[in-house]
Amino acid sequence: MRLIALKMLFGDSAKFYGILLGLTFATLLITQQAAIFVGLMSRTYALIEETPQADLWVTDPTMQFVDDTKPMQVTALDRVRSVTGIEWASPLFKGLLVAKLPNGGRQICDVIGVDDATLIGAPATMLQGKLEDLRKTDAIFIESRGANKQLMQPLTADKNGPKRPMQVGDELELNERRAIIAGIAETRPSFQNVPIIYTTYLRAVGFAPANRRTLSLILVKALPGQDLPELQKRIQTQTGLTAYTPAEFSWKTLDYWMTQTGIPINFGMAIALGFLVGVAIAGQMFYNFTLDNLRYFGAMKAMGATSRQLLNMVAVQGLAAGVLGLGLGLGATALFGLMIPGDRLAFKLTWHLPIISTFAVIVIVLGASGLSMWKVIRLDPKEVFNG
Amino acid sequence: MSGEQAIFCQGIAKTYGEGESAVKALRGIDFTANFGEIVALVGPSGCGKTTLISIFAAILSRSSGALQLAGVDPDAMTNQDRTLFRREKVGFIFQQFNLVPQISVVENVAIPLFLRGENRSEALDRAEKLLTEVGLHNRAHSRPSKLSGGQQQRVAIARSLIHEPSILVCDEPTSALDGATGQRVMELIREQGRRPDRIVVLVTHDERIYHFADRIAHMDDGLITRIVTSDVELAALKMAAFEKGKIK
Amino acid sequence: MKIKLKIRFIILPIISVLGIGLAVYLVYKQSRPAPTAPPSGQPTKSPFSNRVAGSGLVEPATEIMNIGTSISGTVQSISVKEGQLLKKGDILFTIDQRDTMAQLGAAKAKLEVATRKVEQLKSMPRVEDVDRAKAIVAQRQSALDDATLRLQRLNAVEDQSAISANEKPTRMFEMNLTTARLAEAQSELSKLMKGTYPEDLAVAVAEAKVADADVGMLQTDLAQSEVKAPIDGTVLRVNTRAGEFAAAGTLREGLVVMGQLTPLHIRVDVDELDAWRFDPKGKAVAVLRGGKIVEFPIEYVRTVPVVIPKRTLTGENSERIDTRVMEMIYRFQQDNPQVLPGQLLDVYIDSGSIASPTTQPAQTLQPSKPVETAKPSESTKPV
Repeated sequence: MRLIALKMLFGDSAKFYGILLGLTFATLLITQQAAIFVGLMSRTYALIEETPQADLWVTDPTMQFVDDTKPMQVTALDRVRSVTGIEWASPLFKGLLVAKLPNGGRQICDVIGVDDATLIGAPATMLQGKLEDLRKTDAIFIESRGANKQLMQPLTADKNGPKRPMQVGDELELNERRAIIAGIAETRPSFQNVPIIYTTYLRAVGFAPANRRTLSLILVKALPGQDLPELQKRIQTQTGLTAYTPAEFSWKTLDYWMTQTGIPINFGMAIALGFLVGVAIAGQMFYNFTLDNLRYFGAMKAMGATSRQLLNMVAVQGLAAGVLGLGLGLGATALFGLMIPGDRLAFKLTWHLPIISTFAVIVIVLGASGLSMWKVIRLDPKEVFNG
Repeated sequence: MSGEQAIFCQGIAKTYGEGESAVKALRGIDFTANFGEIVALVGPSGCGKTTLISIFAAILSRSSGALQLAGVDPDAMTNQDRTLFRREKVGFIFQQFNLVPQISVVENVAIPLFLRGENRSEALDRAEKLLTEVGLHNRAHSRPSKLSGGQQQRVAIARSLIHEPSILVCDEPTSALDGATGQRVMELIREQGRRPDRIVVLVTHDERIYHFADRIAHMDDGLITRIVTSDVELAALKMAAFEKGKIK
Repeated sequence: MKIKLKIRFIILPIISVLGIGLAVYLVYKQSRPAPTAPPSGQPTKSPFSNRVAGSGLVEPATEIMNIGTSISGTVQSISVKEGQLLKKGDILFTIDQRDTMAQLGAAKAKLEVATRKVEQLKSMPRVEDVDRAKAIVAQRQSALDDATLRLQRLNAVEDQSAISANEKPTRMFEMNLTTARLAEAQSELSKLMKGTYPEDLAVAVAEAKVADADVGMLQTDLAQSEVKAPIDGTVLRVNTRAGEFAAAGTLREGLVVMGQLTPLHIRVDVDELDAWRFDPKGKAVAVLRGGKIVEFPIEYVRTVPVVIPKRTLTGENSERIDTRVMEMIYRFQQDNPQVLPGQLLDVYIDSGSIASPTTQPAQTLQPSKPVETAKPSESTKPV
C-alpha cells in the first residue's frame, strides 16, 4: 500500500509539484537565509577562525567581542607565559588605523600585528609574496578583497580615473609612517568589511597612535594533554586576565552582535517567513491533496483498510514529499552557496542548518499530514455510499 | 458454512443522533438472505436503504435488533476485527466507482489484496486475470480516467470480487451509467458475482435493473414494506424494462 | 512505468539525494578549519612547568660603559676598533692638544716670573743699599756732630750778649734738624737691614703657587686629552671619529662604549605582580626568539633592589610607562653564548618551590574552590 500511496502522491502532478515546490522553497528560504545569517555573523569572529593555532585567547576581562580592543599591559605577555601548562604565548595587536593612500584618499583599515619572532597569527594563504616577506623593512600584507576594492590605486593622476588593484611594492601611509606592501593574502572577510592589514607586532605598535597599552590579544597554546578549563581558570587566577577558548570567544563575539544589533531580528523574520511560506503553500497543498483523495481513502476504509494502514499511507506521502522537498531545497541552497563568490555574500552552511530546516520541514509535514490523518481517521466509511 | 444464512436480521433499528434531533433511519427490519442469492433493496431516497446496506457491509452498527452476517455478529467484534471482517468478507461496488485516479487499472483491482498484505506481483497477476474475465485485459495499465464509465464500473466489479468476498455490496452500480451500459454492468455482476457461497446485495432505484435480483425488498420510511420474490413479478419487471427500450 | 512517474520515482529522489549530498559536502567544506600559516619561527617554550617568565636584555658583566671625555675638544685620533680587546689603561682616543700646549707655555712663563719675584724678594737687603744707608747715617752723624759742636761753642761764649740774638736759635734749629735727619737715615738703614717684608714675600709666594697650579692644570688637561680604558674589556661601539668635536659631560651614549664580555650577564624584567613568585635559587634559562629554539642556562647573580618602570621597547616613545618591573641580573653559564649585548631573550625561571598562586584577583567574589587549592600539588612537580 505504501507504493500505492506514493503513486497517489506522485500521480497528482499539480498537487505534487505544488507540495514539492512549497517544501523546496520553504527549505531554500529557511536554510539560505539562515546560512546567510550564520555567514554574516560568523564574519564577526573571522579572526578567531583564521588563527586556529591558538588554544586560548587571553584578553582584558572587560573585552566584549573580538574587535573590541581593550589593550593590556605589555608585561601581561610574560605573566601569561608564567602560567603553568602553557606551551607558548604570542602577542597580537589589533586596531583600526587610517591608511593614507597614494592618491590622497583615506581608508580605515584593520591592522593586525603578529609576533615579530614567530609571525604566529599571520595569514595562511598568500596569493602574492611569502610569509617571510613580512620581516622586510616597513612590510605589510593586505588581503585580496581590500586590494581589489577599497585600496585600489589610480592609474592616472585623475582620482576618478581608471584604477588597478593594489600590488606588492605599493606604498601606504599609516599614521605618517611608510608601509610597503610585501604580500597579498587571502583571508575570510571580516564583518566590518574594512581592508585588513597584517604586519608585525612592533611595527603595528609603531603605526598606532601613542598609547600606553598596545597588547590587544594574547594567543596561547596549551601543552598537549592540558585540561583547558583548568588552564583557563589558572590564567584567570594568576594574571587577572580572561582566557577564552576559540569557541567561547566566537560565541561571546557572536552574542554581542546578536544582542546589540537588529540583525538577528531581520533574519529571524525572513526565516519565519520561509517557514510560513512552507506552511502556507506546502502544508495547505498537502492537506488539500488529502482532502481530494479522501473519498478513495474512504473507499479503502470501507474495503477493510485499517486505520494503521491509512495512517501509514499518509505518513509515507508526507515523508516522501518532505524528503524530496528537503533534498531539493538543500540542494538549491548548497548550489546557491557554491555559486556565489564567498567574499561578496556571507554564506555559511553549518551542520546545524540542514538539521534546523529538516526539523522545519518535519513540522510542516507533520502538521499538514497530522491534520490529514485526523481527517482520514474521522472519515465515516458510510459516506462512500451514494457518493 | 453451507446451510448458514448469509444475512439474518431481526428487528434492526438505527437511530442517528440523540434526543429531539434523533432521526430513526431504520425502524425494525426483519430480513434474511441466503448465499447464492442476489437481493435488491429498492425504494425512494431517504427510505433507509443506504443505512441498511451499510449495516450489511459491517460499516455501520445497528442501534438495536439481532444481526448475523455469514454467521457472525459484526457488532460483537472490535472495530479492528470488523475492519478485518470487511477486508476478508465484503466486496464493494460504488455508485461513483471510487477508482484511485493516480494508479493504473490493474493496481486499483489489486487494492483489496494489497490491503491484505499479499505479495505485490501475485496480487497484480490475479488482478490481471480477473480483468481478462471482465474483458478489460488490454486496459490493465491505463489510468481509470482513460476508461469509459462502463469500463470503470467493470474495473470496480473486478476490484470488488478479487478477494472472493462472501457479501458483495453494490450501491447504485448503474446510476452513473447510461441504460445499456448499466444492463451490461449488471449482467457482469450476475455472471461474475453470483456464487453459491456469496450473497449479492444491490441497492438501486433504477427499475431497469430490478430484474437482475432474485428478490426485491421494497423499503419505505425505515421499513421493508414488501418483498417480491415470484418469478412472475420478476418477469413483469423485465418486460417493463424492455418496454422502456433499454434492453435488447 | 510512465516517464512522468519515472521522473518522480527515480529522478527526483536522485536529485533530492544529490541535493542533500551537496549540502553535506558544503557543510563539510565550510566547517574545515582555516589553513594554518606555517610558523615562521618556533615560539619560545618554557622547560619548567611552574615558572616566572620575563624578558631579558643581554649586557656585559660590567654593564654597558659609556665612556666620554672630561675635556671638550676635537677628537684627534682614535686608537681602537669595535670588538677590540683592551687592557686597562690602553688609550682609546685623544683630544686635540695644541690649544692646551700653547696655554701651557704662557702659564709656565708666568710661573717663571712669579718664582723670580719670590727669589728677588728673598734676597733683600742688598749690600750696596746698606752701605749707602750706612754712609748716609755716617754723613748725617757727622752733620749732627758739627751742629752740636757749633751750639756748644756758642753756649760757651760768656757774653751771651756778644752773640747776635739770631745766632742761638739758628744753631738750635740746626742741631735739631741734623738730629732728625740722622734719625731718618738710621731708620732707613734699620728698615733696609730688616730686608723684605714677610707679607710681601707671602703674596709673591702665593702668586707663584697660582702660576704653578695653572701649569699643573694645563698639564692635567694634556694628560686627559688621552682617554684610556678604565677596565679590561671589549670595545662594543665607537661613536666618534677623528675630527669630530667631543663635548665634555654626560652623553646619552658614550664616545666609546665598552664592557667586559666574559661572563655575559642578562638583565631580566619580571612584572612586579609576578615578583613574589620569583625564586633566586630556581633554575633559569634564556631562550632565543624566533628561528631555531636555542636555550641558554643562566644563573642568578643579584636582584636590582629597586622596582623600576618598564620601558616599552618600541624605541619610539619613552613615555610609555605602563607597569613596573623587578630587574634581576643573571649570568650566562656558558662561556661563549651565541648572543650579543643588547639582544632580547625570553627568560623562564623555575619557581617550582613556590606554590602556585592561590590568591584570587581582588574583584573575584567567590571563595577559592577546592579545584584551585588542589592545583599546586600538580603544578609543583619538578620538571
